[in-house]
Amino acid sequence: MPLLLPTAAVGLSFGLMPSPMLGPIATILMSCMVWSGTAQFAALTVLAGGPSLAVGAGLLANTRFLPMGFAIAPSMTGGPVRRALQGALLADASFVIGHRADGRFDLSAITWAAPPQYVGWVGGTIAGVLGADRLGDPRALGLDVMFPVFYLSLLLPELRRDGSRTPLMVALAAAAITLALTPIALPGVPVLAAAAVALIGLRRPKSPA
Amino acid sequence: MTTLSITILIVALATGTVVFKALGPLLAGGRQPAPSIVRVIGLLTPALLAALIVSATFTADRSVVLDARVIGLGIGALALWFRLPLVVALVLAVVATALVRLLT
Repeated sequence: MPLLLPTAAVGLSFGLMPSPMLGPIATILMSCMVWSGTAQFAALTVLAGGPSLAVGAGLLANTRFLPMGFAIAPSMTGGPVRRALQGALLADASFVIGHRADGRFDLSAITWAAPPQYVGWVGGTIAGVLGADRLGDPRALGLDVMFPVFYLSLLLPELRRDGSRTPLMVALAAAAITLALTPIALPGVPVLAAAAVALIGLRRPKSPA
Repeated sequence: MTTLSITILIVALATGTVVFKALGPLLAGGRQPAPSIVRVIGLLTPALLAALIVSATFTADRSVVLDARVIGLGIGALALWFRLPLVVALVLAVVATALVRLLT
């Protein structure tokens, strides 16, 4: 339920967004098949430049799933097909929810987080497409703020984790990089570059003072 | 935009996204990573979340903006800070954002 609400709200604003370019059916199909808000918003933002640019921008926006996939892989059991299928169910919120204190991942939490997010995303898109005439501007309802507040609720416990200041520093640096790159880079690139701040973990931690 | 190019667009995005998500699990399943990799993975979460929060709050169409979402996020952050339930924080943030937009 806490997963379904914000996902549906973002799906709703997606359903309300692109109708003239794509048409209602393609918009809903896109949410059913792609199931990734970041990629879909990025693709539609540049759709006027042609479909190949839209594919490039959408996929660039999702390149963060490569390192995230490698991050969850060591916690997986079973054969390659089973692992690949579980990997395909990964989403941003699931990654955080499945992340345990010891650095490993709870794969059943990631798997069970997928259905509410899928239902919320597709259902929200359909509601947005159908309600496009009646609802008008979704921004007037303030629904677009649900997503960042939801992510903040996931971030706060990460910052309190294991008493170290490093997660807070990493979060602040990532925020600054995102702001700095947004005006100059294609959609998706700022978030990917910000995620690279995590590489500071390669450094050996200082011995406790 | 033709039906064919829209179909190609959707299929390419869907396929590429699944490949990104599944490649790591396919190639690197079940192995124990080095301690430095575990630290990087642990820091990936706060970095990713901070970047997503900032891009969902302070940006619009590739430019940096300050609008009602900042107030909404601030109210939501206060609610979370005082450990109110997530649903309450979401509702407060949405109402605050809508009110600011109504009044401005």
